[in-house]
Amino acid sequence: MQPSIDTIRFNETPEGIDLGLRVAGPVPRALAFVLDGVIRAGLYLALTPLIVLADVGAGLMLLAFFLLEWFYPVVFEVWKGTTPGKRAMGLIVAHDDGTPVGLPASMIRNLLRVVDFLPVLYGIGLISLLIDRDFRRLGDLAAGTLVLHAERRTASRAAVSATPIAPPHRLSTETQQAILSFAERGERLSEARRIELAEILTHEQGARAVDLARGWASWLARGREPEPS
Amino acid sequence: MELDRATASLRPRDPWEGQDLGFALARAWFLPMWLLWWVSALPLGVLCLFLTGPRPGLWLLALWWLKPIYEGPLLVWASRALFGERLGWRALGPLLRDGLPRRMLPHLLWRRISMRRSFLMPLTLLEGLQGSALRQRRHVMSNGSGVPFWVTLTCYHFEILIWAGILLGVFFLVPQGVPRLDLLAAVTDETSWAYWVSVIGYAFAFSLIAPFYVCAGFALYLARRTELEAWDLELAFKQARAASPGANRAPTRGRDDAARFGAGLAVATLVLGLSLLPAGMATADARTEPDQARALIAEILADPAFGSLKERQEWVPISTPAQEEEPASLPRGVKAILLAVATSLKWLLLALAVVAIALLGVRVWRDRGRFGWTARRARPDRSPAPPSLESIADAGLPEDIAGAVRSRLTEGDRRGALSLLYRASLAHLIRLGVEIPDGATEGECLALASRRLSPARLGPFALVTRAWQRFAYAHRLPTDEALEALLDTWSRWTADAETVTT
Repeated sequence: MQPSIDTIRFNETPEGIDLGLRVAGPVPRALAFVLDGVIRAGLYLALTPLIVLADVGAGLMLLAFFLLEWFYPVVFEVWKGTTPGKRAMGLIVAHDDGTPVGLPASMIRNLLRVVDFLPVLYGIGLISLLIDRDFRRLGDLAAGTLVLHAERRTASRAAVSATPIAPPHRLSTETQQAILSFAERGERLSEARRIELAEILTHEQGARAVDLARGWASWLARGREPEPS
Repeated sequence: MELDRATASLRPRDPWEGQDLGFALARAWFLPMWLLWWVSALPLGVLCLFLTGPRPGLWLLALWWLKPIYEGPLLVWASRALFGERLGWRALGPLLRDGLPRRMLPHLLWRRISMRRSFLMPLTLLEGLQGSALRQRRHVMSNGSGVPFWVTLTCYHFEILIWAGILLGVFFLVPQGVPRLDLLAAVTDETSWAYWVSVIGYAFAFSLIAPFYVCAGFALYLARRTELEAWDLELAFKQARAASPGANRAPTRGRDDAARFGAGLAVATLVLGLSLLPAGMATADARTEPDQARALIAEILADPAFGSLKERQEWVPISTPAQEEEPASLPRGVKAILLAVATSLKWLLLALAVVAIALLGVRVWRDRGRFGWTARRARPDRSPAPPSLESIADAGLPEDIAGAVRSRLTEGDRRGALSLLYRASLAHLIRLGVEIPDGATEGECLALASRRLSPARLGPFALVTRAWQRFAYAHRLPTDEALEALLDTWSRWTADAETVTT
């Protein structure tokens, strides 16, 4: 059995918990880059009136261009964890162990944009993104950073309203999660599919299977797990 | 459909993550898919070459328009590969037939310009839908999501990027002496050879992006179906059922080992590699005598390639020192202020730079040990392993525990007292034969001990644990009387055990 293909990078914490980091691929990252480019272009446009101050204005403008070009991503990544363009695409930058990105790493990954940019508009970066397992460009590889899909705030779970029924035997954690998830997502499935799924799980038929599965979910939701023996 | 054979993990994903999965899939399957693309595109490309004549622009457009023809087989291949079935060369005929049924025709005509091509192709190709059923299904599947559109748009741009990268790479990397690529002609002059290089580069970019684009659409389709049909739950439930006691397991299917693409691939790359090798290596190691060499060097240096003098005449305009045009003049006062600001800014920046360098120097001096200039440092790669429990429990335990605890209490070191008591209890447990793994928490120790020992032999360990936990995690001290009572029972407990053991 070959390992199953996924876009999650697992990191084990010292506590033995596997943290799953959902790395982001080329398409959202390219779109985020374009958005950031548009924002920066807007800032450049806003700065052009400085030109009326003749040479001093031109100098100030060039300084501002320099700072914007090189430090716009660094400042936002260190301050907010993500640039405005990335935020719009739901992306964040993090160290490859999942901690928020710091100044040194952000500096390295953004200075190396020069290399990734070659030969034109991130040609090397794109190739690197397509080849690497965690969609990292060269700057990310050097700095040890990842671009991740930010965790969504999930809406609070609605309580499962069914009379609790104890499951017949001890269930694994994954199964328990699946049963709870079934109770939550079941409303969005078609009725036939709901029954089909519940029949796989339980030994009942038809609507009784769904009721039974929901009963188990309700029982599990109240945390009445049998004591470990 | 046997979901448990899927080689990609089926979990609910939002559309963006869904198309990312496609890029991961295409990376895993890149070589077979890329070759498959060429298998269908190369003959068609040659055919188009005859049809369009020497018009590279038109040829490229034809190749571009026919993209769904190459993408159909890719999609079918990917859909089989998802369930662990790698189709090999022998399956090529059926694969091409399955990838190009008649119902694909709209994809080559009016639906060719659709910006959601790769996402909607599975509906036609894998589900075999047509007409109103297709329309309805498309509505359900797309659900107003804009991601398929953005994937298509971005992939078009990726192609442009790779094409431009190839052109510029050729332009920059071809050594001097070899005819250079005329970049302007490569994009504008249809009659030049440079244009052909550019067009072939673009076709190559199509081939590179096609597997990723097809898989991205396919993965988006998978993500939507996982959402609609809760595939992940089906998988989990099936596993639960197989694991449940008394389950009659489904007979495992024997996997048919069809001839794999891999073997064919190896041959193909071998042939390709061989043909790329230069026919004969130039061997130039005939040794020359120093005199001969000197003459040879002089001869070579005399060559015009190493520089020569040449006289040349040309007309130069007689220039008068042109009057510099006065730049937009500012009022005198404003100019003076601006100048002052600029000067002060300059000095400020200089001063900041000096301060920064000085700070850096101080910092480097202070941390000089860290750079390994003075001595090598052991690499702190891992935090030290936690000490084993026995060593903690036994280390430096005084003889008279109860006395030591009391004396610490009178000194006011309550934390030390409780910790000593708890450690001594652990040491005692180990002596009683309870095996406690490293890294066990207080609760786990208690659970282990209570499972192993009878309540009488367990003694006040539960009480000691509670007292320690309340103190360590909640900063709540037991009252002095309670502590004294605890110490009494504790002393009796250890004393009893000693009489039992001795």
